[in-house]
Amino acid sequence: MTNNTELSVAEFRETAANIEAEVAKVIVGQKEVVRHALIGILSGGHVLLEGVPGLGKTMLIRTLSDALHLEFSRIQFTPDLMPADITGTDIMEEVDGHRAFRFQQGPVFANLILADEINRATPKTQSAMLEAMQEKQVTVANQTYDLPRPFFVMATQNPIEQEGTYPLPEAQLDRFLFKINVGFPSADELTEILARTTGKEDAKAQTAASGQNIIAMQNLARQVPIPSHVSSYVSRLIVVSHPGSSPAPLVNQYVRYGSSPRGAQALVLGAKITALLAGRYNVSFEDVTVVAPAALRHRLLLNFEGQAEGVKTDDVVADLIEHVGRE
Amino acid sequence: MDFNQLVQQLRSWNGRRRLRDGLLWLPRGLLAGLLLAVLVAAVARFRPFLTNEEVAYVAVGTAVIGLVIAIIWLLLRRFSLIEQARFADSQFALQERSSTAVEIHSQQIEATSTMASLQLSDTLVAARLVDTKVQLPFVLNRQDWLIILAAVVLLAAAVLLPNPQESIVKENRAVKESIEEQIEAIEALQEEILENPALTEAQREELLEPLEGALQDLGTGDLSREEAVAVLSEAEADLRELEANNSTNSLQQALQDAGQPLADNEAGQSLGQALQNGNLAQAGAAAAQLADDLPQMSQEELAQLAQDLAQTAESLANVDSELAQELAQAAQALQNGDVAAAQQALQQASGTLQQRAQEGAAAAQAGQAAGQLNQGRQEVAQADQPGQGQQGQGQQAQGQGQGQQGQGQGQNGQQGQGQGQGEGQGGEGSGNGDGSGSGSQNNTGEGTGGPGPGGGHAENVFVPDFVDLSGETGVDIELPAECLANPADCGGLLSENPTDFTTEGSTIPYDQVFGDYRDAANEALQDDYIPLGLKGYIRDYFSSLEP
Repeated sequence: MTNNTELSVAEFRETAANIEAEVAKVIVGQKEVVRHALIGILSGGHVLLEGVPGLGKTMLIRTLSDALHLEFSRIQFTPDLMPADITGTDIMEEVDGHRAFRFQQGPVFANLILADEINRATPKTQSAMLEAMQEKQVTVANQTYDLPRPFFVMATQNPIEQEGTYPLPEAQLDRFLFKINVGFPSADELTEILARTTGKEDAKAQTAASGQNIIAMQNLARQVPIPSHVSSYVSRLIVVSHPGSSPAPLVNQYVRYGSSPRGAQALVLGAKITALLAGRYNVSFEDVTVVAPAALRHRLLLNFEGQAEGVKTDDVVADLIEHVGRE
Repeated sequence: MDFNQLVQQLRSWNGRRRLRDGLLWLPRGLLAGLLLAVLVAAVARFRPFLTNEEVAYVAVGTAVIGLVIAIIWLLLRRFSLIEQARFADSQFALQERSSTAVEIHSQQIEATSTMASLQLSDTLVAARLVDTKVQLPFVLNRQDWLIILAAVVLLAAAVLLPNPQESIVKENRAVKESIEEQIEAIEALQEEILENPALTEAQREELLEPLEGALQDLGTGDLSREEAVAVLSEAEADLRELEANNSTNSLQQALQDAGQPLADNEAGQSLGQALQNGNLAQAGAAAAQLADDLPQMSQEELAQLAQDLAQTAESLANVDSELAQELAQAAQALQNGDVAAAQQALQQASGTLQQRAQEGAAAAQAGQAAGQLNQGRQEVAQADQPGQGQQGQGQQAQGQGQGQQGQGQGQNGQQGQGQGQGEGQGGEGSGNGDGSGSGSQNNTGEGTGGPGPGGGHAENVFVPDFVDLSGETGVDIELPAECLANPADCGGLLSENPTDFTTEGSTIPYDQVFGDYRDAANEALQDDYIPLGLKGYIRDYFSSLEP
């Protein structure tokens, strides 16, 4: 008999592999997207997916929910969506001849929430959603209701359609652990997609892990040790992401404001899970650099010059990694 | 799995790392030393400060120093366990396994026991897969060795090929060494002057002044050859002037004859002999004694003494009027029977003779010092010059009549008192002259010595005879008009044939003529503008002409 941790580690990797395998039955390609989404879930954080329409963002999240056997809820954000449409509201009903208010839970009460096109809702509605993400509870009519555990929000947004949208403010973007860019599939991938989706049957993912598994995996991931010089490296990355005296020239030239400490937390949590998935029991520099783009791209605020010149935050993150020494 | 296994593995890798670093950095240490030597060699090609041999020593020395520094640095470099672990992680792509295991073990980071155990196991497994031959190979940096080779070639060329600066280096060093020798010699000379009992305090100060000036100038350092020669030359000139001012040569020459009458006189014999010997100090003492003895002498003796004193005074009248006058006063007093006055006059003469003795001592000392400076000047001037043997000094400065022993090197080291038979030999020439003249003291020497810088000799110089026609009336001669153009064509002007020229009576001693020319030259040197570096040559020239 092996002890609990040892089993958990082996189970961790096996479970993660199974989840990815199940998702791969439905989602063609997008390995990195799936991996980052899984890392986000296993880190206990929320993930923002950005991509043009039709790339399977919604399908991915739905497939993940199937593979994880989590209660899934989809919220389509529209401009007329109200906060109560998300959190729920009190409704009046007659019980035993008496009228009373009963709290009707909103779609946020689920394990895995798909917040589709979150940037189309009004800031007020966004705030209600984001408050739920941060606090994992909602307050309606002075009553606080805890959200179920595990609780993940996977939001999507369309980078093309800007008219009639309300871009998420930076403070709220910061609440997402990762921001994952969903790219256009290759020709081969598109061919495979056609074969799967226009054929006789649609593939469906089987359950690979339960909510309890996910919680256990989250707890195990936090036990992975990180050596001090790697921790220092993470700290240096965050500090020099701010312009002024950064060794990264793109940061000094195009960044108005750098990452918050949440970025460092995202880096470390993501690196720990990456290490476990790679079969190691410690965090390495490579683990940090693998998750750095997803963890930091939405946390670097570009200045006017950066926006005018169309600088991508991914380039700034790459510049950061290049110029920050590991010793 | 034991943590010590990891420690042993880390130390093994660390040892290999140090060895690899040694193979890398020892050549670099050597290279640094060689490059420095190349720089030194390059400078030595353009600046005169090292010879080729010294460049070779510098090259070896800097190379060894570079190696030693590299060795010391490698030995002193120590790595802690965590540094070793981090190096291993980086070098062998262990992905921070080792450093994590070390930090967990040292409790620098926290981990559950199970996680720590699993992590250590994972680390040891990964460590066993490391191939140090591939991942930490021993390599020689080819570029370093190529540069070393190039440096060695350059240094070999620098050492083996002739260096145009080398001769200048040797010359400068020879000059500097020579200057230092002259400084020591001048200091010894100063000591000698201070210990010379024959000099008065004032005379010592006078003699020391030019020497101190020369010492001060020579001691400034970095003097060129010409500057050093000029300093010594100037000091020598000052000493020559002192020598000339205090010279008693003419007096001593005259005393040989002047002392004869007294030498034949029993009472004045000691005085006369002392005068003949040129021993002025002794003569002064004898004169004082004679003064004391006068009252005991008979009238005949006093009369004879008076006569002899008068003759002596007359002989000295043209040479030393003061002494002559005093002796004459003594003679006159004796003739008048005034013994007391005679005693007084003799005492004055005694004092004068003592004073003359001191002046002579000062002149001798000045001459010796000047001669030494002259020798030193020539040594400096010819330091490191090819083919220069013993320099002929030829400074027989007082070689006449004072009886100084003229040494073969021309040093007038002796004070020359009472050595009236000095036979100074001409100094040897400077390699191109034979300069071995035998200048004798009686000024009729047959000096055949070469005229080199050391060729002091005495010759006779033709001077038209001076015919004293005072008191004679002339003879009127009628000269035919046709003889006006050339009177000799008309035969003898007188009944007698013209007197043939003979050597005797038609010459004036060279050393008497020379003195005037030398004085004129010294005056010109002082008053006229002559480059400092050339003054020495002018003095040398006239020194070479000295009898």
